Amino acid sequence: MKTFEEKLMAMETPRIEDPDFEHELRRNLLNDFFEPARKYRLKLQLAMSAAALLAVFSISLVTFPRLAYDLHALAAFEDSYPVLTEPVETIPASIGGSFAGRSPRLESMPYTSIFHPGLARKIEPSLYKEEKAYIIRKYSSPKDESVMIVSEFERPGDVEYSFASY
Amino acid sequence: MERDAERERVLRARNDLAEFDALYREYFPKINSFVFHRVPDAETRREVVSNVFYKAMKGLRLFYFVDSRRRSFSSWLYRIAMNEVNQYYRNRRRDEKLRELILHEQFSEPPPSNDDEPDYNAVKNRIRSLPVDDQNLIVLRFFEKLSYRELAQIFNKKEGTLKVRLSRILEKLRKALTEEPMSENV
Repeated sequence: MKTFEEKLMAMETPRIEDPDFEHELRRNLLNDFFEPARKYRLKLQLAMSAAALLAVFSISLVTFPRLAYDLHALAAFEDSYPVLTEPVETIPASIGGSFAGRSPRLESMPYTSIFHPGLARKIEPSLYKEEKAYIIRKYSSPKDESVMIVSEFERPGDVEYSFASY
Repeated sequence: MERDAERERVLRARNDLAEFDALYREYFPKINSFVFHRVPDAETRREVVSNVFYKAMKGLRLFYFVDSRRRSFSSWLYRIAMNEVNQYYRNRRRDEKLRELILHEQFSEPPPSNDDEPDYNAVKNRIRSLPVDDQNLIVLRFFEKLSYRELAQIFNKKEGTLKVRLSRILEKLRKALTEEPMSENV
């Protein structure tokens, strides 16, 4: 004896035929997916979208140079910013030269650059222009207080002095 | 091997007119028939079938790279069709009151039937009281005569799970078919 499931499986079901609709849908699909102009239109849209994105990115980079740092940090999963140049540079000849013959140590003294990674997160180094250079010398006496002398270099050979004590 | 050949064939159908034609001729009647059993009128059937084929054409690459590893092309198409039918019923609930009146006219008097020889129209009317997914399962199994393997691919469930679920639905359906005609079907 047949089960209910077997009876349902053996049940006659009507079949639908709709040739007009079948042809119409086929024609619409062909028009929409096989039309040659559609492929070129799609490629053109893709190319224009990519070009627009690239233009926006380029303009952003020029307008906000820090974006490059941020993107790099994001891509490399780094907290620190990349070092653009050496964090320590040698004192320029214009300044070091003024000590020629007087202090050989100063002629090749290294100093901290504005591109030091510790500063890079706080300021944009390229926006800063070096205005003046100073040198601070500390003198200590075993009996009296220490003296620090701040020297300002405006031009080679032109040295002004100011004093700070502590 | 057969699955690989089908994948390649489907991908070629994106650009090869002959391949597209062959696939369309093979699958249009199946999808059209399934939707015919699931929706009330020809206009809706045409709309749903069109949506299925447009979505399929747009998603051929997705099928090739993702779905083809889990299911056959036929199961993938039936799944799209099933989702479209479900969407149709979801949309229809929005203007349910109006529709209820129409459905009442259409289905309030189902043809007499008994479980000795189930009748297509009686079964079709009775399953309307079931959840939409159960309706899909009944239609695919007993109207479209799909195997449990294909059903498992379409519903993304194990064959055993579907057999248990179907037996519960059939019990309800068998009782409903031998009872008095329903006063209302939605």
